[in-house]
Amino acid sequence: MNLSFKASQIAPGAWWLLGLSLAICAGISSSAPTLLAIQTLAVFIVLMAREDAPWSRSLLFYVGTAALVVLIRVTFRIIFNFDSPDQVALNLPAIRITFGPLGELDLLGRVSQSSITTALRDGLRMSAITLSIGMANSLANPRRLLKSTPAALYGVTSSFVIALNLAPQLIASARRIRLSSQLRNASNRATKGLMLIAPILEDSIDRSMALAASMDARGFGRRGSLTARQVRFSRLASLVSISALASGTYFLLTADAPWATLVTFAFGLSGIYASLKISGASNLRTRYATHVWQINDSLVAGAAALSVILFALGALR
Amino acid sequence: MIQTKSLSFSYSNGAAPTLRRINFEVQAGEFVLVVGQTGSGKSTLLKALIGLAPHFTGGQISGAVEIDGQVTTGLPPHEVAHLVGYVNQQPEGAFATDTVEEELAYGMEQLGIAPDEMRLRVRNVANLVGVSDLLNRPLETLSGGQQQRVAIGSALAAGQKIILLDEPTSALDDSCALEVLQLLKRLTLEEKLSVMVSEHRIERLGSIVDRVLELRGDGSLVEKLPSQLQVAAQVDRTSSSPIEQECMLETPALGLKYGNATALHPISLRLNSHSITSLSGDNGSGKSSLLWCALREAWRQNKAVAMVPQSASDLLILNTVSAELSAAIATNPAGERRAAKILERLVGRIDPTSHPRDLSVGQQLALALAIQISRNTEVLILDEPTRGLDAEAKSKLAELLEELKNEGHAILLATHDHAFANQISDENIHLIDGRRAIEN
Amino acid sequence: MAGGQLKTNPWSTIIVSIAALAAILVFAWPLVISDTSQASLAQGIFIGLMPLLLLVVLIEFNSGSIGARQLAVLGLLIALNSVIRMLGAGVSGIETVFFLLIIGGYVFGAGFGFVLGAGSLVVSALLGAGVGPWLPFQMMAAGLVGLGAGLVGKLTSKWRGRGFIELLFMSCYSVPACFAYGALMTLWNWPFLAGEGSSLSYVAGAPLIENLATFLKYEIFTGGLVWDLGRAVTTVVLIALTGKTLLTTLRRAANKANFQRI
Repeated sequence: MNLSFKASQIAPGAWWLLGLSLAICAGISSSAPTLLAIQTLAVFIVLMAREDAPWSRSLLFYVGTAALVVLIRVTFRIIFNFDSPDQVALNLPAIRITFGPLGELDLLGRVSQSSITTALRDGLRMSAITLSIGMANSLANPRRLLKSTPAALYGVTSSFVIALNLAPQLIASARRIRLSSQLRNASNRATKGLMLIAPILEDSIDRSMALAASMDARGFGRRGSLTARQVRFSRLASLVSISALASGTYFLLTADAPWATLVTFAFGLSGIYASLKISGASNLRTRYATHVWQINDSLVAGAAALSVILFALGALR
Repeated sequence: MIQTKSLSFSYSNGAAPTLRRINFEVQAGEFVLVVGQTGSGKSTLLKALIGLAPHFTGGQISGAVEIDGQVTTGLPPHEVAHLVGYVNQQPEGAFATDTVEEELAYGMEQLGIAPDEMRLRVRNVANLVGVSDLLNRPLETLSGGQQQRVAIGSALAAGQKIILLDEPTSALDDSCALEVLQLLKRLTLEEKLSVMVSEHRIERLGSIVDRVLELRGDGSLVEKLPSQLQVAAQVDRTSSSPIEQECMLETPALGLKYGNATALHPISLRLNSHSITSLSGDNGSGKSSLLWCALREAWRQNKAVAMVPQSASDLLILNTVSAELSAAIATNPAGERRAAKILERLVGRIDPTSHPRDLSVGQQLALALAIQISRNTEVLILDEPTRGLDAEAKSKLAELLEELKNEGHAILLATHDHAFANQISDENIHLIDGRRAIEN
Repeated sequence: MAGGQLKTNPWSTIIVSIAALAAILVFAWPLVISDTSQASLAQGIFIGLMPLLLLVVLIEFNSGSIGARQLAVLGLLIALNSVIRMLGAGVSGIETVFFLLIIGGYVFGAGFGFVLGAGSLVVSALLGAGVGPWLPFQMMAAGLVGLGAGLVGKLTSKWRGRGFIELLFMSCYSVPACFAYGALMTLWNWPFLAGEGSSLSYVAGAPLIENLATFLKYEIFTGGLVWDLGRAVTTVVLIALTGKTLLTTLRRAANKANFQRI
């Protein structure tokens, strides 16, 4: 039984479950030390599990962003402060700017202790969420993730896969065409950039057509048909779900009716699920799984679920 | 299994029909070879059978195509895909997935084969075409020959009873090409597949194929016997009287590295006038790398040099054949006329208003060759100049290169076509894994 | 398929319109929220809600009949736009991603434009720009820009082929579109960076006018308006330079392979 926890040995979905659950825990938590712990955990997991792949090299970027968010939050709070007399932590000169029709703007002044700690805590929360998502992104192979999207989105995800495949080729294509025009000229003058746009574009379009032909010749585009009833039902489900989500948002923001909000969102989610299932019914394809869900995937997913439950129950705040 | 009745096809530009009232039948278990000169319509015929013509090529189709008893004329390819498998001429750039494993499974996914069956077939097919140790590799890291084998494997895995292959061995060296064709033959015998292959390298196929269909240049189809397959006569080597040779290009040791991988260990070259030097070696042995290094070195030394790269169509960036020929005037006032003459000599007349990208692979190569040769440079470098050329065009190219050699040019070419290399070159450099192999 | 645009049915239009409205509401929540205690809950929910809204629109796009050819061109344009975005990002934040998006949406239609916008953002994120909680919001905002360009194309189809006028239409659309994108993304990072309680923060429950005024001050102070102006200028210039070529080439690709059966 090979219990490896290296990045490519775990299903990308499991990594994202872990990342999202850490983000949720960070969202629920309200203590700075816990938030710092979550961030450290995320970084630790990446350092332990990552392998050499293009998407794993951005850890520094995420850590930098996380630090930047906290810094900006606290600095912002100090600069754009309402002068207040209680629990003064910083005593700065108060400034007031008038913006004409836009009103006034208070700057600096006496900065209270609580506002700094609140800003720090909120900043840490935001950066913890960023870092958790960054962790998932550093460990999960994005292309394998695209493979596991629902059948109802197959066309759209295919275009994303095509884009991911073509992008490096485009750069190579541009280089080749520039080189070729050098091959034609007696001297080595590099040809004007804009003049090459048309041939590069034509070349790319031809390549994409060749790709489309190869896909089509292997059966891409075969669809079963949906019965009229299924089509109507799917449309209804989409309509109901989007209306529910829209109203749920409205209730959440304006009315103080938590149960109404919850129910409408539930409706929205189930509508989306139904719509996905029905649209996917016309699917004639099967999926070749390069990775079969195993014990170590379940362990990761289990840890994710456990942490969310514990946080929700208030055990770790 | 396949039956055509009066099948005709013409591209939209009003030119003469490419296929003219073609009638033929292919039964189960037959291995059919389609031959014809460059541009005679072999690819078009195969595309018409699967529906890529006219759906992806434009044009007009008439007549009838019947596959397995069903009329499929005019159906889009994806509705014929469960009956017919198709492998295109240039698989690079037409991969729909990232890794070898997924590409082998792609056709099966589209056809809805059960996941367990897919696993089994991927393993089997990988063994058949010899890519078992490459399953997890990203496709872009494979050599041209490996990519071609993956494309063939993907078609075989999908399991249709009819497979069409358009020049499936163009990027493979001789031994590999033979292996693939023998594999196909075995499958026609064991699994009763019907296989139609269009090929230029017909030298050893007489004993493998069951039937031969030839496309004449005018769009008609005739059937020949395998024993009637002609190989073009060898060009008589003019006995070389000792000629004063001067050195055209001498390079220091040229090497090439990609990151940690060494594509080419340092090799020095000396190209003399009145000579043809060939580089031979298997796919991935470093031939192209050496040519590019030589090119850059020549530029550095300010020598006049012209090159035709492996992907000849990269050289063609204008909208019509006549525009490309006119652009060849640039360095040589006699350039345009000379280029047009060379082109006609190699592959016959081509409509000057046609778009270079609409030409067949062999015609594109001939156009690129014509443009670069007309520049009349001292040194000429050619990377795989025989890919897509039929036997007749190849012998004409050999003649042309002999003439250039006698005029005093230095020619360096890379090819895995050993027969061609032996025929015309004075000196051969054999590369194995980026190193110069000692010949005996 | 006239000029490459995909057919739409009225139901899809309704569904997508509601989704767009919901999306704008989700972006603009700081202006609208009435109770401060709901703020962090709302923020949390919206991080998950925006992907769902994207999902609804993408499902509608996918339920139309799309062939391999259209998807290949879509994939190509997404790839192109992503590469352009990555190249442009090096030049101190000059956003180059919009000119191809607007031209592409204009030629191929609203649905195509939406997927092109959303796709460019996600593919460039996967290629190296980085995935973060901002991504679904960027995808939706860019998608809406592409959607709008498609609508402009549909409305001005009478003038198809008159080169200069079409460039004018696209440029006129791109200016408010760039500012709108900037406004939406600034609305997103407003509570993210300024939080609550500072003099430039939103105030839950305050009248809309008041929050808008604060938001404008925030825009001014963080230089958001300057970024937007730079974005708009870059886009108009690039449309002017490349528009003619791109329109011709893209339309050819859209109409490629006309066939008849005799």
